[in-house]
Amino acid sequence: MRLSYLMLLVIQGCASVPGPFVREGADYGRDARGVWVRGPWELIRPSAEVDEVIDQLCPAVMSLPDARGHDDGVEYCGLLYVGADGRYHASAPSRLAAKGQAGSSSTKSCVIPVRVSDTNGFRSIDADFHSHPWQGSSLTPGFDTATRYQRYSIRIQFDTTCHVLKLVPHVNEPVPAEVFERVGHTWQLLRVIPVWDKENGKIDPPFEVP
Amino acid sequence: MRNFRHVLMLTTVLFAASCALFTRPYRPPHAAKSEAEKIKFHWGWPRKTAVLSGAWLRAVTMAMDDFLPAEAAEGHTEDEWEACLNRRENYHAEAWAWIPHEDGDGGIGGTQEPDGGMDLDAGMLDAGENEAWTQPGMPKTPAIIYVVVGLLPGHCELGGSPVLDMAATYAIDTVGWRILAVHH
Repeated sequence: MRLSYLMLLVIQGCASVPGPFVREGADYGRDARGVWVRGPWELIRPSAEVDEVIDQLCPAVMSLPDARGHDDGVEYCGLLYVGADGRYHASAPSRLAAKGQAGSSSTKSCVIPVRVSDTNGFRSIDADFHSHPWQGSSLTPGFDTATRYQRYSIRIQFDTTCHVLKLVPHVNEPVPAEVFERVGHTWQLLRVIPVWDKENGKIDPPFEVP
Repeated sequence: MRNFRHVLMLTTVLFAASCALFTRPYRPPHAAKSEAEKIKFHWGWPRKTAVLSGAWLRAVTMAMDDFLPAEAAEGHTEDEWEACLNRRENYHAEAWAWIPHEDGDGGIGGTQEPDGGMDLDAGMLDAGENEAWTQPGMPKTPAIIYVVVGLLPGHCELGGSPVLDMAATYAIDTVGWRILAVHH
């Protein structure tokens, strides 16, 4: 009885189809200039509309190993860019993190890529995106939102429930930064970060986690 | 067979007991006596100092111990970036108590907040307390102290890539001295 049960488990294990995954060195990597990611990511259909690409990100990322792993999970982060064809593309995401966070840890970090490796070339990098492996986990005030952590004109962040947030930091512009949440097919303004708080990314009251 | 089980059980118990006996609690590394003798302690100290005291000191220490345990912080790694992230001096901590917004939800009154935060009156200094040992504008011992620990800006960047989310916010129970929750 026990042997048959064991054999069943082995057969089931062999028959299971592995889901999508990303590999260091092939899909992402690091060097002296920072982190790079490969594009385009096959799981994301390119589009002339950036929002169509954004809407595909969370389900695709959440299908990757450990993306929903809570304290045992990882954060994935990648880039949205305009390809040589003029359409928006997403890169494969990186799961690069400090080894100290590889195991069970209440802290997970994400290293924002600074380069795309696309054999077809690209025109511009417009946004970064990253996931959090917990539910109810939004943009981290002071870290995700501070000017010094911005490299692009848009930041997309989502949690395991695919609650998608968009930060428009307006770096070097005399206007407040804005945080939007994706509701259906529209962006609803959630919070404004005044010009004088943009540098440190402080969020004004109310402090409830969106 | 029965004897074997007894022996196995006894061995396990002895092994566990020896582990408990020989595992020493963590202490920071100390310099050799010869090096320590060269250090001069000044009489008194400057006016400008960083002060953390009482419940606030304990809350921040507790959060840091969880965020970056001392054993991990002093572990050795060949990777420069990893080593940078493991150094506690590359982090900062901020602590606060939840105080109702003055012009918002109820002002600075005398009510207990749903999240356990306290108003200013309830947690203010005892009469005659030395203000030098308190946190300006903060109650002395609120029921919950929130502590955010995070990487200092510009530290440990990987080439041109900034590190996001290297932070966590803790809710510390200052009555039972537990970590109530961690917000990511």
